[in-house]
Amino acid sequence: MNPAGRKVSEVAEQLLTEVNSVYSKTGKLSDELLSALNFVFQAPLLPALDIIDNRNVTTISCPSGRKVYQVIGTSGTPYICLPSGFYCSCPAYRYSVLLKDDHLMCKHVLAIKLAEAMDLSKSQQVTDLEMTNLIKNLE
Amino acid sequence: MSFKRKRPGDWGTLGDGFEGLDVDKPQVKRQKDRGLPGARRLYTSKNDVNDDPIEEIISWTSSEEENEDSRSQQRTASRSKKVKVSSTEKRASVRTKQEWKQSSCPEEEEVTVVCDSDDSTCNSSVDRLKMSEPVGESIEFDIECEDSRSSILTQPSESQNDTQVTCTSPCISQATSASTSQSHSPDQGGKVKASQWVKMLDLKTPTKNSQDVTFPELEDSAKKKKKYKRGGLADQLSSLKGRERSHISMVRHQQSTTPRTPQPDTGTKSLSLKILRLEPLFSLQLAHCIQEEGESLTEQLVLFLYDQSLQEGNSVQVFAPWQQIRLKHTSELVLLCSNYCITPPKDQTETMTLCQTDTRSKDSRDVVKVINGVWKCPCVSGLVFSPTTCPAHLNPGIPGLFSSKSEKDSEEGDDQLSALATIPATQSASVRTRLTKSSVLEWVDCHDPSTRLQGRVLRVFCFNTKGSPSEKRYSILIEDSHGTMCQIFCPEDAEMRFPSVLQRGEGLIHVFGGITVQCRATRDREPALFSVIDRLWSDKCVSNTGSSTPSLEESTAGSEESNSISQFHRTSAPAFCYVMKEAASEGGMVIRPIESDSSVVKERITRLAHLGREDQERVSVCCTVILSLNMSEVKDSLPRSDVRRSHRSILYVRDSSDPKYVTMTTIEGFCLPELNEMRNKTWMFRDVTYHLGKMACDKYSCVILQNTESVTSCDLDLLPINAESSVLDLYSVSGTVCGVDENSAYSWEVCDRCQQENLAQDTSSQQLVCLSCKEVVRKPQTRMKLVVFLSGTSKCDSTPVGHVTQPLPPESKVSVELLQSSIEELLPDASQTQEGYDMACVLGQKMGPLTCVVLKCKPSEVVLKEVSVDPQK
Repeated sequence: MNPAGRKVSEVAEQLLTEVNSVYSKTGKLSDELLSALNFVFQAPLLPALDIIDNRNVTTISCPSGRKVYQVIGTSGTPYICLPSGFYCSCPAYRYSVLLKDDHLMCKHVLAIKLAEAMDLSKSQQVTDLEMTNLIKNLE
Repeated sequence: MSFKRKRPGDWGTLGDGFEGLDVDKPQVKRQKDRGLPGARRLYTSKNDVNDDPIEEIISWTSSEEENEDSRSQQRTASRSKKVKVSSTEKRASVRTKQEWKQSSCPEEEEVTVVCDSDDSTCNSSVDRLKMSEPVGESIEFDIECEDSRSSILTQPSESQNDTQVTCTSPCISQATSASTSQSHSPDQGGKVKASQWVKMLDLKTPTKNSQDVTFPELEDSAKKKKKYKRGGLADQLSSLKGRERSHISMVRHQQSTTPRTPQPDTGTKSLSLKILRLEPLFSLQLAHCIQEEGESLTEQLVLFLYDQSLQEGNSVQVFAPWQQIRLKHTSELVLLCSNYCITPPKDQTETMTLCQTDTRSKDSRDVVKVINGVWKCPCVSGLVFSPTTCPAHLNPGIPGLFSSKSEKDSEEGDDQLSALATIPATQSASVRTRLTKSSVLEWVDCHDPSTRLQGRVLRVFCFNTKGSPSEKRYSILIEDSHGTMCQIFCPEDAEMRFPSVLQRGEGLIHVFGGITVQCRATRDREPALFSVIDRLWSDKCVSNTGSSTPSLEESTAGSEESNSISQFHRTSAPAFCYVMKEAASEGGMVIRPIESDSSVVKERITRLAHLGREDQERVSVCCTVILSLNMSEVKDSLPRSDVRRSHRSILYVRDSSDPKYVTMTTIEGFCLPELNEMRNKTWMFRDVTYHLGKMACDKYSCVILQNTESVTSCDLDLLPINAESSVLDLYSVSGTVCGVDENSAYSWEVCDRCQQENLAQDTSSQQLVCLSCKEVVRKPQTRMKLVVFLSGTSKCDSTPVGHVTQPLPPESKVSVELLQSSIEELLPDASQTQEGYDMACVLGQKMGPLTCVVLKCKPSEVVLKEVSVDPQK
């Protein structure tokens, strides 16, 4: 990532930290913060918030400590995403993030980041074997 | 626009229709700000003069109530302060959703126009106007709006005792119209049909005065909107975005209806930034700016939404609200900016008027003679459409034509002076100001023929046209800042108009104007052009990666821009190239250099010995021409399938790296010097095609004479003539003369000066006269032609080591057309013979080794022509 890209990533991280701070104190996000989030994340933010509103982000963990996220998109398709990085197997990631370089991340990954910041994800425990299968099936 | 106000009408009957209004009774109406966030509520009516008036409050959005916090109250308080300040100006510039406050008191009557966005996050576009005038007086003040309909009027009604407020601003919201309807009602004095009332309002769709202002399309409003979970975050964001959109629309409308230059004092918080560097990423643009705060300059990082109109060097006026984020790691402040306008550079709007001294200084008025300089450049005033004929272009040192007049003269008409300065100059200048785009795609998208294109000249192609082979034409291959290629065909007189760019422009950045797109060339359509582009592309890649072939000389284009270009755009070669030509309507093509000779492109030269090692269709070679033949002389020898039949000439070249020679043909379109001038000189053949050991020069190739010493052909390594000899190749031939072609053996005389054979004998003086020189030829030279048959050619001992050749069959008949020098050596002294030569005198003589070009090579017959590769001959 070039220096300018790193700057935007830093801004995004800073905003997510702010989301965590504000939401933990007030239980809601101010318009100013939403406006800033919208400025930086742009189109994926609205569907990401919709995903969060519908509690469609699930943290899947296993006894060994490994953790993945499952996000059910607006079309009902579940996507498995890793805690680190911006990778997602959705078409928007390939097109808008990788190919066009339009967005920093797709709505699913953004929903994960926001849900993590606001602690709005559901939790689910699976066995190590199931976790292995989940990761193996990652595209 | 004007705002006229008479005595107020009856506002208290809002919602009750127009009946029962007492038009004769003057009533003083007053609205009070109850301390609610003024920007978010509309006070529509009060029907009581008591201390406890009835208020009807219309809330604009549901979310506004949520956001009523102490901050918004502070904003309201701060706005009230601004009102006091702006009341003296009698100006208002922002007309969004409007809050009317109308109040009266016995002594003073106030009309407060509060214009605000409904965006709760925004308080920047709020302008207020508060006026205090005695009751009954008509007040009129101007509001900065170009559209006459975009006005807020308070004008006298038919009844002088009533105050009528008419609002016809184009951006008036629905609620404001409602208040307008009520203000009309007193005049009617009874029931009024709704249709008549609407007609009375004379509501019209505002006309846009901003034809030159283009905004990106907003979201499709017709699109079915997804419903989000009520009260959820998405719902909150959705309504927030809606408010932001409407706010942006308001701001754009404001920009389109008010002068684009920032207002000096509108009470709006804003920042003046100058963009130094712009980096697009993730639909955003990170701008490194300089913030102009008075005289101090501070650096500022600003994130803009992606906007094509933003360019490096722009001055941007950023309006509140903006948000700043301080980065933890670097402690840098990053400004998130969505509300801004690009201000034209000061030198475009202000330098047109050059006032050299302060004309307003009364103390010095009597002493100092003031010279008012008015820019009268024909380009600016629109008198001259061709910039090339503008005096400023012809004499760049002259800033303009000045007219001076004394202060007394100027005293008479300051207005006249300002009109001269602003209306013709700045108006024309703003229209005629030529923007420069550094991207071809942006240049194409802007559809403005006056916009210029900036790019680096990579190649200047010189070529001949089919109709007139002797006439030189030029085209220029440029690359923009994004790596997009563009070929610009110059007009016929380009050699005279643009000598510098055609001769020394390669590698330098130029600005091109007066051009238009002719077509878009692709690889399929113009493979030859793209082979040049590929070569240039690969050269850049080589220079970027730092790798270099040992045999290659490194090519560097050492400017920062070039490096930055290569950093981002060297992943794949371009797939298309715009082809442009001179525009017919823009007063001719303009090419101006904007870079000095700092960047010198060194051509990557391939040695002849290394040809074929690169996977490139085009190469540049530096070599000596040892022989040149006009193809018309030898093309009959070539088979019909040989493409070289259509070529113009064939050159035999070599360099010091290889004792062998290489052939190079020239294709129609290639600008070739005189063949005779090329021999035994070293030339650089740039961008010649190379395929299967054969090189060819086409219209994209270039030949440049080099100062280096030519390579002697003494050590030329030639194969002996053999059964596998190729047509038009050079071979060494030795043998014994076994016969003479008597039909081809003849001699003739030529002029000793011009070497022409146009000689005639003067009947009177019996002297030879050259018809070409028109001179008497005293010592005519004798030219001879002789074709001999050689035998024993296969017994040549000169086969180079390592070469195994198939000897000619013994029955092969080898004929050689000899050069004059060889004939003279073969024949006995001419003084001994008067009536020709006896064949017997040449038979049996040994000849060779002769350097011959093969014209025909068959097992039974080999036709050769002796050529000279010796520079001394």
